[in-house]
Amino acid sequence: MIVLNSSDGATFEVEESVAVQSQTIKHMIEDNCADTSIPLPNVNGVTLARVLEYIKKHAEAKDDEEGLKSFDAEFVKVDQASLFEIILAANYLDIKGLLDLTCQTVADQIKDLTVEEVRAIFNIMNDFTPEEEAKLRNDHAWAFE
Amino acid sequence: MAARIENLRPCRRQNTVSGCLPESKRLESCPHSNQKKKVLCMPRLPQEIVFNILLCLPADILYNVMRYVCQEWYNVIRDPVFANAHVLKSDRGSLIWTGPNRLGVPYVELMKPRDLIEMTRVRFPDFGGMLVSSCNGLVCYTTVKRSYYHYIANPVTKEIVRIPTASEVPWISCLGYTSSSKEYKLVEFHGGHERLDCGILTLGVDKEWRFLDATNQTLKIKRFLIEVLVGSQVATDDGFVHLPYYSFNLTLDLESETFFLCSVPNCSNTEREDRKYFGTGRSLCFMDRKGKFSWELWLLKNVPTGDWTKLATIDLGSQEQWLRQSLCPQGFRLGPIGWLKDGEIAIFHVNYDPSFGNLTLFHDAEAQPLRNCIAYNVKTGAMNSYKLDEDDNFYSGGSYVPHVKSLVSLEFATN
Repeated sequence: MIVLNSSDGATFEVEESVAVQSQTIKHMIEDNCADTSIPLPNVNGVTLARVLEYIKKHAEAKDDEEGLKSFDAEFVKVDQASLFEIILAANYLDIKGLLDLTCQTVADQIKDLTVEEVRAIFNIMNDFTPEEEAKLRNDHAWAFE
Repeated sequence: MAARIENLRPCRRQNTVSGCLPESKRLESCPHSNQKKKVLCMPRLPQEIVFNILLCLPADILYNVMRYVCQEWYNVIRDPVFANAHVLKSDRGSLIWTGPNRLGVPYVELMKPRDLIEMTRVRFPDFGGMLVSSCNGLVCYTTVKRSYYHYIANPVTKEIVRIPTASEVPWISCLGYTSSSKEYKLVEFHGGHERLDCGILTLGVDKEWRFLDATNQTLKIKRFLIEVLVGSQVATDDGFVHLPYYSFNLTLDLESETFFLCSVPNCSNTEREDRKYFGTGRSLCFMDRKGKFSWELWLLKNVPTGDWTKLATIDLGSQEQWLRQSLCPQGFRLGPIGWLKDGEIAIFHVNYDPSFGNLTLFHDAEAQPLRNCIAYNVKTGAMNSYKLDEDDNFYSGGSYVPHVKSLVSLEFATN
């Protein structure tokens, strides 16, 4: 069993065979950094619990393609901020399946939005000057119309 | 023949936008702020994650909407590294070209998130020619009436270049891509009585057409049957052009620019209609008709060795009665027209079958199929039917070209 410590002091136990779905944890174990417990200062307790839920399910139901699909669909039904936290955790822990799933989910959510709505979701400011933006938007016609 | 590659519209030399504004201007809740937090603090995603999210979006949405979100996103989307990663990841759809169409060419694709098949339109300027192929999102279109040109365009970025044809009336032309040298090559075939001429031009590199010699291989083909090769050429994105013949394909390796004969699965069918080759976008697939509604499906796994794998046997015969009721009560025929998801889903066109009844019904609107397209999932056996064409003159003689919406820029072609 491996012990994981979140940034806010919560402790989690997980089987090594499950934990190595995270390439980051796998390398730490291989480099013998995991004697007592593994500190994960970039992931808080709530998010780590969710990530562990994902990798546990994917370890135990590995061959059940349909079951995993419906699990994944339910798994991503969380609020935006939590989804972003899971993405950051999946990136830091290097869990490819979870990163692909969450990035695809965000992409599906923003696909039909306007530019302003996308900015609101990602908390991004418009850093184009009005002249720059007008110039870019004008570049749009075929030579022959 | 000199090929002056004309740039009809200056490919957008995309301006490098200035760097992002300093961190403090981003709308993050500042922990030292005295204001109460009104909005839940959203963690900021690093650029590599933005890259991964953007990779999941279709090219036209990236180009028309997401580019304008901010300078960081603009720079990610215009980066050729991003464009190449994006086109590698994207699922192929199928362009269905049935003639000049003011609305654009019908394009059948799988739309996420629920994997529904939809038809949209791909538009590019119509010069009165013929759509011949599409490679990594670059569409190739040939005109041979009043002027003789190949037009290569990316319908998403609206870039277009024009190249004079090598011969006056090319029989077959197509565009291919070599992933090792990362080059796009335009290929043109023209046949004489005993030989097959092949012109090749590397976009952005060649100023003139070069000619390859296929004589050694074509000697094996009886000379009067060279015309047979004209039927359906298929180019694939993995660097080969296949010309289907009977017991083998004449294959051109775009990287080495050499010809070889590629074997095909053994099948007893001799009618060309019953042996169909399709590009899936990444590979070549062969459909051997076994019965009225059944086919054997083969996929070419390894080109140099001619290694084919039998993917599946499609047999819709058992469902014929039910299909007839829901598709076309007057009797129907199925013709395979393309693939989605790189060989996973076969698309069939439903045609009214005149042998079932009154011939005069053939052009009668009432006899037209209720749903004219079937999507069949080869793995699961699931089948869905759709009515796709509203205004098109859908007939089984159109050309079906695998296509993908991409951000690949034609800037290199104008050098």
